[in-house]
Amino acid sequence: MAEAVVVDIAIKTGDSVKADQDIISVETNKAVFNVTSSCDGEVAQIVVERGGTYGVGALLGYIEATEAEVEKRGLARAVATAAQGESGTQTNAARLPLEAEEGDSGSAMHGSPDWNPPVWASGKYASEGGAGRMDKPLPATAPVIPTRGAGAANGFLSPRVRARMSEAGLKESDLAAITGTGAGGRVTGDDLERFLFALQANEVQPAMPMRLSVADAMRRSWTRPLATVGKLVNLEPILAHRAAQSEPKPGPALYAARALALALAGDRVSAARLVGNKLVIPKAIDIGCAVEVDDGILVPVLRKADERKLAELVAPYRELVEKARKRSLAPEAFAGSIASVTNYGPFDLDWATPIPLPDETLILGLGSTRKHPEWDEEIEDWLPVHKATLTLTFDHRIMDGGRAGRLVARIVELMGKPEEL
Amino acid sequence: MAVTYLEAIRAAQNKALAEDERVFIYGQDVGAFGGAFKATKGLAAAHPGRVLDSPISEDASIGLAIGAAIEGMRPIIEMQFADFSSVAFSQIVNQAGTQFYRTGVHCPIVVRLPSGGTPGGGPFHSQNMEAIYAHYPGLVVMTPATVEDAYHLLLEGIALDDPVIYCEHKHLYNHLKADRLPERSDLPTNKARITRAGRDATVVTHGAMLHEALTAAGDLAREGWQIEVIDLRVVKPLDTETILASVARTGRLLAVGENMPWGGVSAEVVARVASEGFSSLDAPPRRLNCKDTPVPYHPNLWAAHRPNTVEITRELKELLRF
Repeated sequence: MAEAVVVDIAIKTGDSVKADQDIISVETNKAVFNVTSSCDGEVAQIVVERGGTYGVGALLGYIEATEAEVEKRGLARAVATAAQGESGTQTNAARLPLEAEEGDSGSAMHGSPDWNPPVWASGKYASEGGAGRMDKPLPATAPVIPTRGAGAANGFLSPRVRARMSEAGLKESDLAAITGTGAGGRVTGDDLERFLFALQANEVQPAMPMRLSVADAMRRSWTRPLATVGKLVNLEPILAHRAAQSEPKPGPALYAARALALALAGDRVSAARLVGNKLVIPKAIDIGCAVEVDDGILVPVLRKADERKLAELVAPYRELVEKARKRSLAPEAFAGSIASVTNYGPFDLDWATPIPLPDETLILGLGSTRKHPEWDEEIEDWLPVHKATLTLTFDHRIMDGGRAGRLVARIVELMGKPEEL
Repeated sequence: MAVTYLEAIRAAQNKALAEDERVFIYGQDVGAFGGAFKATKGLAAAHPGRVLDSPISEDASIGLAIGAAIEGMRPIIEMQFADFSSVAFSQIVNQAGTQFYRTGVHCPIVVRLPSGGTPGGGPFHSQNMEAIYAHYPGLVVMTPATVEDAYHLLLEGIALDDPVIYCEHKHLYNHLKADRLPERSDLPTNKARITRAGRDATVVTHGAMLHEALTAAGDLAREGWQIEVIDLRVVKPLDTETILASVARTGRLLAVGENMPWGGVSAEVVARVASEGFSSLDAPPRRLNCKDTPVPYHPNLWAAHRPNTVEITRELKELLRF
């Protein structure tokens, strides 16, 4: 938000006001907020007009502070309190601009947490010391030039900042911790330097390539609106089926993978990707299987999991997992999955919101197996039933909760008939 | 005793005439009359036979000078007004500019161009021609903005083996004063000067605009902004290194020139920073020139036509705001 419309002015020049009294109403694109008086005093001047549009941090007016207020706030009578848009203007000592200073959130114009603090110029503009960095709040006479409206500046990184990021090996997501001090709240080169400098106070060690590779995939994936739904699945049929198998036996994750493959074979659009204004529908049901390895995760791909029976998948699956753990799979073994299965049950977790790979729309998660009480109508008693939670994280651009819910229900249904898998 | 910009130009010529017998001055009314602006006043008497009046033909004057230079002389040619040098355009850009390239024989001439506007100068007596001559290979183009540079650049220009276009700004002739003329220049000929150091934005300018830019920087300093001001001194060759280093420090560029806005020195500065200094930029580079019209006669229109402190300040605020 960069600007707001003044919709009401409840005061006029000469009125007495109390601190925190609502005096001006402003409307943003989200809501109407009240601007409160920053101190006790008398309205000396109102600069804005009803109906006018003003930038964040704009000067609204002046309040002549009461003697008591001057005393309380330790206002020096001879010092100017120039305000935004009026930089350099000398005003009466006891006048307080109707606009909050940085770090003074909650008072004056801050009607809501949504209200950005005033856009002060970068700290480097305030000090006179040549190469000095900002280490203290700006003086009241700091130059402040209002930024353009519409908030277009937010998120903008100048070529200079981008070049420095590239030099330091940073991605945009690394900047999340930086509060920008530039125009429109953008991150300046100085902000970046201060951030990097402060990091040096910690132990810093290089991240392993595997970690960086996972980080890169997750960061890219996270650019999409992901949502997760979950449903309990009764594992008794699978446990019984599994017990009847000879070694090597399929694990719970493989049952889930096969059920997911069959469900998607009947509903390929659920695994489609949205690219531009087109849906890309997968031609083969290749399912990724998440495997934990040292300091990371690998997702080898089980090809055409819909066309092979569960029994035929056991050996290839075991081989994939084994080779992945030994890091002996070729890069092709990780390419082209349309959805993945991750089993976080071994970590004793019931629920998670895993993130699909950047080129996948879906990831199915399987939680830890627990005994859940289930009411048996025949014997009129509670019986222990082995269940686990199935979670499905999906790209909300492609489908909504209803479709995701039906897909999970279909997988649960398939897992209830393991002999058909 | 204070020395004016005009006196510095006269002193440099006097010194060159005294120290190098190959030097002579040629131009309309430069002899007994002392030149249209008195830049050669007294020199004809001090150096008999070496400060010569030319006919009213800029074309012929430059042609004669080129011939003399080929024969080993170092002529200084005064144009009464920079505007009139267009009459000698072919001699300057086709003959002098290309001579060494074509023949291997140097062409050490200095063409003095009384440049820029004064109130009431009008379209034929106010123009700045440095961008035109900088366009052509083979010419060195100087635009001194200070008394000291007026003195030293002229001496350095006379000593150069290449043809030099020396643009002296008429508005500075008597306005600008220095306490004394230093023995030697503090910078090599081809280095720009950082006249005022700053951290928030770089203004690159030359000639009389330097002083407008310095005033603007001073005004903004009172608001807390630190503006770096670079005086190019010599627009060709252009000291790209100093400009890029400054923009690397400040992240912002405003190029100011009194020339016309279409192309020119400020356009060249912006182009070089945009292509070679892209990764230094925090904001799109800006430039400010005079209006794209002939130079007006009326003093008020003249003042509105060229960039001034108010406009430079406004442009800088736009630049800082981005």
